[in-house]
Amino acid sequence: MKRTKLPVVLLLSFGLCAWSLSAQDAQTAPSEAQNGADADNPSQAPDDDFPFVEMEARTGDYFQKGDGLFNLRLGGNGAIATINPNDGTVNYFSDTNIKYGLGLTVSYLTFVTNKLALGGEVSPFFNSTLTGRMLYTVPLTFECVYMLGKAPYYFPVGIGAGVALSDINEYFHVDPIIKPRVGFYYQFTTALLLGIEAQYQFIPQIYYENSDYNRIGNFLTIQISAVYHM
Amino acid sequence: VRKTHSLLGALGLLLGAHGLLLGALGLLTIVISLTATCSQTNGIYADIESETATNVFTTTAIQKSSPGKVFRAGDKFYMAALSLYTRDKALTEGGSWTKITPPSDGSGATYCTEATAVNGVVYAAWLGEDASDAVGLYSYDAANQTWTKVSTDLDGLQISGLFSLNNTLVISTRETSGATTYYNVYYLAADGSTVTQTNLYKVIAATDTELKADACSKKPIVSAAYDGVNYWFICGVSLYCGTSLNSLAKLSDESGMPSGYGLKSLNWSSDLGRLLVATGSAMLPDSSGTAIGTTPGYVYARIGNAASGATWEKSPQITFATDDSAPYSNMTDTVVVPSASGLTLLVGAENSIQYNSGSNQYNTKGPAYGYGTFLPAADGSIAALSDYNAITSQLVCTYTNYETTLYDEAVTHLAYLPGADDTHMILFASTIQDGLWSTTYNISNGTWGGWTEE
Repeated sequence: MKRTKLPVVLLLSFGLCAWSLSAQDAQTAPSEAQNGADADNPSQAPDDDFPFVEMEARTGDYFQKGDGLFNLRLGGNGAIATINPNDGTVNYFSDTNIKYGLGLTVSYLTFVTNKLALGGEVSPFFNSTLTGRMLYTVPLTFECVYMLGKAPYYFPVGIGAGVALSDINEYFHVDPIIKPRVGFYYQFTTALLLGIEAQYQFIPQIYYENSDYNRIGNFLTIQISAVYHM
Repeated sequence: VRKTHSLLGALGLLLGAHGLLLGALGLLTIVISLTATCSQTNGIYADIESETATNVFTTTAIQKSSPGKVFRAGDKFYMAALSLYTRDKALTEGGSWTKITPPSDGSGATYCTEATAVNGVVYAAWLGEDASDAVGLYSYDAANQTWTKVSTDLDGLQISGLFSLNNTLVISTRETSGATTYYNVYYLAADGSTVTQTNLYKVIAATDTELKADACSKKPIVSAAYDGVNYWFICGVSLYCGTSLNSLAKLSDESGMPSGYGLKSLNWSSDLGRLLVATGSAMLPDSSGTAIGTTPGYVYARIGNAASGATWEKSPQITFATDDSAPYSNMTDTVVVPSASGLTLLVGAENSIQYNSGSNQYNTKGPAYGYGTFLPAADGSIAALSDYNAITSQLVCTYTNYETTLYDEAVTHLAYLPGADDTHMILFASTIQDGLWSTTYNISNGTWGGWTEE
């Protein structure tokens, strides 16, 4: 597998996210206008500050069905352990030979109830190894998040599942990934929340052609986060 | 019921608004999964797990190995010691070395026996897990950390030496057939596609009468150099040279040339305008293969680089004042470095051989003698080297600020290479059983930083 696939995947992913946002803007504005008129404040007409005027006027749940969350996160990550399922050997932390790294996350979620949001996420991160090689990992996941808390403090908990593209030197592999997450956010403005998120990434690396290579990767990512509420 | 309807409605909304996005992502991952999981030669986490410590020289095993000669390619230094190691060209002494992962093309490459750089490209010879398995010659792409097999023309041959001569990769090989070992010398074409045999061993086979018939049919290449005009090779106790790799001939007719000595290394010094030949103790065989005597260590110098008719100089005998009973030392390598008093010739030394006429026995003396520092004359002559530190218990000249010496180390290779910028140089000394040492020379103020173990 050529190394060039990784940047292509990244570009495609970011492109799809960007397209998704623009599509969301185009499709949800009339819908939310209608919702706003029908629900909490029927007398308020949409204006230039839509949808924030409508959000400010909300009572009860701040997040409501149909809202979108665009999330950008940046932070560090590290390997907790790699497990050899063949003999049960577990290498913890520095014994994994994977050093601390950095990661960027871009996600988009849509509230399907006032508490539950679904969406997608791309969260590439890279780590150097003991000998200075660079391990690139790009998880592409479907996300399910349940929003706890009340303004201005929110505690999202959720889980993501999908695939992780891993690349180091001439090796490239696609593996399944499951990543539970928890976060803490403070609502600064109607549209902006800032906070911190932690994710645990469980990546079983399966090689059907040679099971000797099978390993289970366990990573922890902690990132500062900005959420744009739309 | 209401919640269920809400959830179904939400899923519908999600799939409606973002169905294309999710579908595209799903399709993308399926395609990548189908294409990427095939033809894997190693597991990623498993491969990382097998990496060894970054600073390999902190391990006793590496310290006890015998590092090869350090060379530079691009912004990094490289050195072979059963594996290939690299470090950044940073000024800091005692740099952190990294083990380079062997080729992973299924060839079983395990041991790196030789390496050098030609035109900035690193070439390395690899053997398999069974050290008799010849894997072949590879070039290394440092940017992508990948290996490429250079040529299949050498398949089946063990590579015993790699030399960078006049921007050409010269390869000495070894092939065993029964009890006989055959050596040969090739060079790589400029485009890297093919290797061509030099005429060296055709010459040797036709003319050499110094060989022990029962030991080997030919002798290996010990060292090689290029002086700007001539290619030079040491084979046994003879020198071979020629202006091309297809016109090599045994040197036999120049005034003062080394004769009857064990020849250890060749170095062309443009600073001195001389080809330096380090000699060592040798048990010289007669025509029947019986040892007939030993020789002391000297440094020879060929003045200039004329194609023929040059004259040679012979240094004073290099002895060790603290051990006069063992004057016959092996001079291993030479390098010319700057100093406050002008150019200084460093000569590495290792174990010596002593002949005891009373018992008619040859004994190895040791442990080792580090290196000696000598001052050539202003015109570069080494005929009357000033024995600047007398190679006494203090092996280091007083005019430097070396903090430690390499006394008691067997110095096998010396390499003087540019460091991180134009203001510093680094001198590397490879030792037997004590790893690799370095000291940095500050060009602007003419001081040495002091020896530090890498």
